[in-house]
Amino acid sequence: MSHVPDCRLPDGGLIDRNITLNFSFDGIAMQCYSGDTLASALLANGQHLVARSLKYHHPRGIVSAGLEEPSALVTVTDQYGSTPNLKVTEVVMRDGLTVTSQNNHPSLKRDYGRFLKLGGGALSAGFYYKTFLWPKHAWHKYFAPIIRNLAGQGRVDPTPDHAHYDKRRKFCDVLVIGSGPAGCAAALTAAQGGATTILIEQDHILGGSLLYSQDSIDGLNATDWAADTSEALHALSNVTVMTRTLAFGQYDHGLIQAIETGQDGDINRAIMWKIRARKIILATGAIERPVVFPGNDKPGIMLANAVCQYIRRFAVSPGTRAVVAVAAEEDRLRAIAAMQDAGIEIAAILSPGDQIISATGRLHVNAFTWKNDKGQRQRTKCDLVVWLDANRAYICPDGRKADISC
Amino acid sequence: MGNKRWPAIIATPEMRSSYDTVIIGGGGHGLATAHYLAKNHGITDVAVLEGSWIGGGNTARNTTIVRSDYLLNASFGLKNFALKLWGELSQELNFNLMYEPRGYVDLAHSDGELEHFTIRANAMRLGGASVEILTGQALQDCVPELDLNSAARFPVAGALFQPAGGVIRHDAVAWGFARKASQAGIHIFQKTPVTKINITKDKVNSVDTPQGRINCRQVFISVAGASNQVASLAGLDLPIHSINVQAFVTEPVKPALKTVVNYNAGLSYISQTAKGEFVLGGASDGYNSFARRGSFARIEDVLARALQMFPFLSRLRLMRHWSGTADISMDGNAIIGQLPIDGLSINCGWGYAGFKATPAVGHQMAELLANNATPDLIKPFTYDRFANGAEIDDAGAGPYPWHH
Repeated sequence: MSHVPDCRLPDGGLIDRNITLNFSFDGIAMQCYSGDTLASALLANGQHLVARSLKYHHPRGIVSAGLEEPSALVTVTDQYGSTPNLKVTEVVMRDGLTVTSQNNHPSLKRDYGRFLKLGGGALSAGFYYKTFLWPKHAWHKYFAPIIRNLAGQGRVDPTPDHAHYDKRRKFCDVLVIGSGPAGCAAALTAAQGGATTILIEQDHILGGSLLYSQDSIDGLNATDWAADTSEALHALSNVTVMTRTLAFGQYDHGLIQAIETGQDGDINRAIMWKIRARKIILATGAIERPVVFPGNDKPGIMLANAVCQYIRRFAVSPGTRAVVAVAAEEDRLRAIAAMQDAGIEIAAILSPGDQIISATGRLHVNAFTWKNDKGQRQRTKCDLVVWLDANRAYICPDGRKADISC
Repeated sequence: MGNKRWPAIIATPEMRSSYDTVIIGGGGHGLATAHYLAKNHGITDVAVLEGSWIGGGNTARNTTIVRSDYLLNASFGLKNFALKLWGELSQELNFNLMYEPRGYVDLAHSDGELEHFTIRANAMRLGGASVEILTGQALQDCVPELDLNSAARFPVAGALFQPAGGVIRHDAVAWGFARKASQAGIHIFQKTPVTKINITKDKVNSVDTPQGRINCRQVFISVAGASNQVASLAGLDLPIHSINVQAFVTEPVKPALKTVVNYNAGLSYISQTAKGEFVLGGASDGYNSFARRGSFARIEDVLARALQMFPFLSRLRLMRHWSGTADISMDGNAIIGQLPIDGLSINCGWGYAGFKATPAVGHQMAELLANNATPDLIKPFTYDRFANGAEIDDAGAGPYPWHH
């Protein structure tokens, strides 16, 4: 059996170490704990490379810890059959999942599709419109079928789906979407004021950013405050708390549509909710904006708050030696503190104004190159790059248009 | 490497104070007209005025399907001519429109409906199209992915199959026509809405834009969802309702469906793009609106029907959904040709069926603009047919735009 490295930190995290769950990734047996997402489970097993990009089949890892995940899509097989293109960050772990990588042949590590990149990025944007024109009908007969087979991501299971799905409706005075500090406080205040209240959270527990925060509220540390507030909300008869529920759209006349994902033992695999409320409060938080630079899609390059979340909430160490390219000071300090607690060596910290040159490495980032404010070229070995740049504080790269293919 | 030596798709010329012909609307139809004016008639003293940007309107929003399975000669003739042109356009424009004749399958759900489809197929054969009626195993062989066995609410009785039907890369249509017309010397202006159409003694003489006045001999309006507003600049009240129509795509997966399939008990049409996404569309939302957003009820309705055809779709999720404004006339067919004002012509009322006809409309309108005479293929689509009672009602649905 292959050796599976253990990147789980010895203690901490909102996981239940008494409940071990088994799963497999591309045929390799792995274990994780109750409370893990598939992303944290894979990272705990040292599995950063999880996917190939759509067009050039670039190696792709886990970038984020939430629904904004752009790269890490996999096929998950359970009792209902297989489901393609699931974000590893959105799959709550349960026992017995079979997880497979997509869009590669013959394997994730040795994907022939990567040879598409040879020829110097010939398939750049707009390429298709200028090529495969001749001879007449050749597009339909020869080229399109080849391109269709290379494109697409997962494979859809052609057998009918025997799971049950339902559609239901709810009405309330106040609907709160998102259960971070703002959402929890809003729901509690509304409910204590007598309003029938619904609190929707896409995650399987309440708390949002509190679940990996070191801050304190009302003299309590963040995770305890989230747990207490969750308990208080559940105790109120005029509050409905809906976890594992993603509000995905607001339609005319205030109709909110949401999908609740079932868990083991539920009759329904998913329920589509139609919710109408007198007042809707969006407390959905923010999504981090990354820096754009050559090589930015290599496994091992992660958003700052995702790194905090894997360390603090899931007790997983996403690397051993990190470069920090986080422009906002608060986020930078939080990420550094989390990595220091996890025993990750900090190889370099970029200052705003530094010029990012590139990240290199074949299947995982192994070095990072940049120029500091004195114009000196720097390079360091690393296996983790933590990045975040809300205001484009970094120069990238060399003032020229970045040639980045995906 | 890559695309460094590729010039911009269209030139950005200085606007002149006068052009022979002004085309209002840089959508597929307007740009195709510009292209054929240059190619077939050598007319390049033309300005195309687009209120937003090229490839940003209904050409970008449709479900990319081309076919010509219409019952009435007028409807069939124009669309079948378009299908012929589609087959040659990639080479003609030197731009890959990615036409894939994967076959169009129109499902019938009762014997009566299949009989009606047979009449339609026969009419098409008389017009020279290749078409088949498929039932049972022959249909299953044609669409192996189709679920013919489950106890569906509306079982499938058979299908009309048009092999030349298929899909075309919709954005490439706008860009390909624009590029060729621009190369020929026609001026295309983006972000240039027309604010006024100036008419003296029942003759058009100029249009106003925020960039200035353009004098011209003739004006051709081809603005789809904005037809009522632009026609009102010339004082015309069109027999057109504006209704929103939605479409949506799933995430991309490996090839799982070859043909384009339409479910007729209600409406739900589906195909898979070269990138792997399933594209779906259905009927209009059924109420008048200029809002480019739709009701969730229509999405559920279209998906429910799609699941009856292909139950495996329940394993996928929608990535995006969007809505556009469809201009639907009282008989559901287009209004093409000259208007009662000298030098003013129009192409509108295509509803959500206009994409497939793009090159045919361009070809015929170019002929009209060049010769000041209406060519045969578009003669039945005159503006005055509603006053004369010469409607072209393919569906036999009567004067109710939301039924078409």
